[in-house]
Amino acid sequence: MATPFQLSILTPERTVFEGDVEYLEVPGSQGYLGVLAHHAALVTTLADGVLTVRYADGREERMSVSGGFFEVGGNKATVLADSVATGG
Amino acid sequence: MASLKDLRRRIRSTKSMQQIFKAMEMVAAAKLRRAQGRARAATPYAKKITEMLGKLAGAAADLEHPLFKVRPVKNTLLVVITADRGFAGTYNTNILRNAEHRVRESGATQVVVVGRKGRDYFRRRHVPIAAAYTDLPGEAGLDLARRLTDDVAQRFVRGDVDRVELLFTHFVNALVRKVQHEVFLPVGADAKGAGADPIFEPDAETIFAELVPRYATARLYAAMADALAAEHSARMVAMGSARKNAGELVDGLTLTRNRLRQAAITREIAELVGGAEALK
Repeated sequence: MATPFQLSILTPERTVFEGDVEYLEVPGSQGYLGVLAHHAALVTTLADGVLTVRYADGREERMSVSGGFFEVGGNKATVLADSVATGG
Repeated sequence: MASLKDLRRRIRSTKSMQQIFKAMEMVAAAKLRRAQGRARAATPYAKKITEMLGKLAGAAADLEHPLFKVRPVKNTLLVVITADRGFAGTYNTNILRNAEHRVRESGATQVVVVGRKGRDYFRRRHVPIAAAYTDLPGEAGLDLARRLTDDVAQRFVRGDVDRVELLFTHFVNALVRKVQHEVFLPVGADAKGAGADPIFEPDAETIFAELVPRYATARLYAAMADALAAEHSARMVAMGSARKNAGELVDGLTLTRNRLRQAAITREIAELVGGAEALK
């Protein structure tokens, strides 16, 4: 069981998600990034693509994001996307 | 003295106006709630992107961006956010008066207006308008914020203006609004020590170049969402007091009508009695 870390997914218009997750995969502009707890501090731009989160209970969710930024540091990750669409 | 018939007509029309005011008040209240929600929902992103900009500026001091360039100010551009519609009390007048004052004071200020009311106001006063954005969406929209940011950013980068200022109405609470004046461009950042130096991918410059315009858009969007909440709250208050005034008017008119009717009845009785008296 992996340690959870805090994630917020924000767009200019709303907060899409805020809470603990244990794994996150984001479409960085230099390729997909997998993020676990205690990731080294990093800031990158995002490409259009699919973002995957795995919650503490093992459930996975995918959403498509387009453009923006991703920041991780201090066991806190933030996705600042231009827009996010969550699957039904 | 108005006739009884006129009075009745006035009472009827005032009452229907009162109903319209009441409806508009309730519509504004509902829209205010939504607008407030949207303004609040925009805050986390705006806060975070400001923080990120500060971190980036702190981590690499020599970052450059066209929107970051501080130049000696010869020409200023003032972006004024007003409403498309009136019936909002002092909402439009307050901000427009403030804007006009600023424009007249410095000879070298251009104006970009948002909202039909602002456009009409400056047109009437023969203040040249660089661009006008009307037919605003019912809710603060990101599209408009992007278009407006692009427009003013281009003017700034081209060198038409050396500074862009933002004038909008800040929503404090349902009863209090404040005209807010901010420098929009050049973008300034409070450089903060980033703590642990983060890894930048691909590099700080590229991230910075993407961050700055988004930061500007986020700020403009936040201002527009804020202004929209202020507009609805102003309209709600204005319609509320209009409704109350109409109510008082109806009360006064009803009193006069009753008195007039009573007088007519008394007169009729007096005539009848007088007639009967004469027959004796």
